[in-house]
Amino acid sequence: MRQPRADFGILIPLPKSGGVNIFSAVPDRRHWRRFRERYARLPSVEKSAFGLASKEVVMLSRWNDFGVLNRLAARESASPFEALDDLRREMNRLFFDFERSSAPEQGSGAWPRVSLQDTGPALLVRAEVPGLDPEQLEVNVDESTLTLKGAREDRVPDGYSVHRKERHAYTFTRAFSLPSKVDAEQVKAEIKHGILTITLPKAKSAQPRQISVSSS
Amino acid sequence: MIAENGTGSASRAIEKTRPAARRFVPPVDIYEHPEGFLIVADLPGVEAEDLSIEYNPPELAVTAPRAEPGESGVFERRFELGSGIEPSTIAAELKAGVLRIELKKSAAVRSRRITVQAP
Repeated sequence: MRQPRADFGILIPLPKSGGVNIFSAVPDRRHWRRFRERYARLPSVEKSAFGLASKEVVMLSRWNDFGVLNRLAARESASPFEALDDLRREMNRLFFDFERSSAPEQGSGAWPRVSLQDTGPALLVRAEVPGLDPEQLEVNVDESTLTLKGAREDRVPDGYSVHRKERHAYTFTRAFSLPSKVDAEQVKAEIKHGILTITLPKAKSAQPRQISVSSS
Repeated sequence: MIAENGTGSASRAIEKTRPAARRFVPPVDIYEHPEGFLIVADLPGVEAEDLSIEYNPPELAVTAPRAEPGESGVFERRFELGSGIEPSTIAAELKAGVLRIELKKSAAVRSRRITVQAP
């Protein structure tokens, strides 16, 4: 499929000239690539990327994220300027959602999302691993490196057909160099509600110390 | 039969007076089978008591707080259910941060297999 020229555009119909495109923001290559990777599996998407202005979309219109015009039309007593303001907000949201929701991509190594906190005596690593059982995860720690390995299966349930597929199967290995040495013997890992929490107590030499000031 | 809605009109009114909480769009799978639909969403860190699934015909809204470090806000996803769904049978299950919502089709729209009889 070829990159469309102005699929983010919104066509405002005018009586004589046929129409004017008030947003001609062309998605850049990065956006387009992500979009294509994400939706390439859905055959009906090929015809019109976002289906904003097009009436030709058959299936996607039932699942359309971007019902901007419908929502604007439903708005009561909107002045043209307010409507444009809304439109701008919707466009921002659209890009924002698109960026965010396309973030966990298969094979990009960005999954799972991981955060690290320094609580003082320990480091706290949290990884978002929805749908993973403890046995599907492997956590390895040495003095200064943490490695997470795992796999998430994702099969279409028997007898079901797919309308939308944003969740994926993942096989991942992520390694982190830790900001301080840790006591590998004392590391604890726990999984709860799809969040893996790893508590890594710092090694003695890295523990924060209070220095007492003596008077002479 | 299920379309997706963006920010609803109620939250739009609020948006004008105060900045809305940061909104996260959880990835969602939607499946169909002859008897109904299945919606599966990743909601890591969400507990059942914090999850809100509201059906306000025709809209089904799924919202839950998200409180990860640096990622706090709300998970939000809205769907518009068509008339072909039996609202009384909506069932949801949250397990290991994965939400499954089962929707049954009403009898009128289920596809039926017609058997051809030999004369």
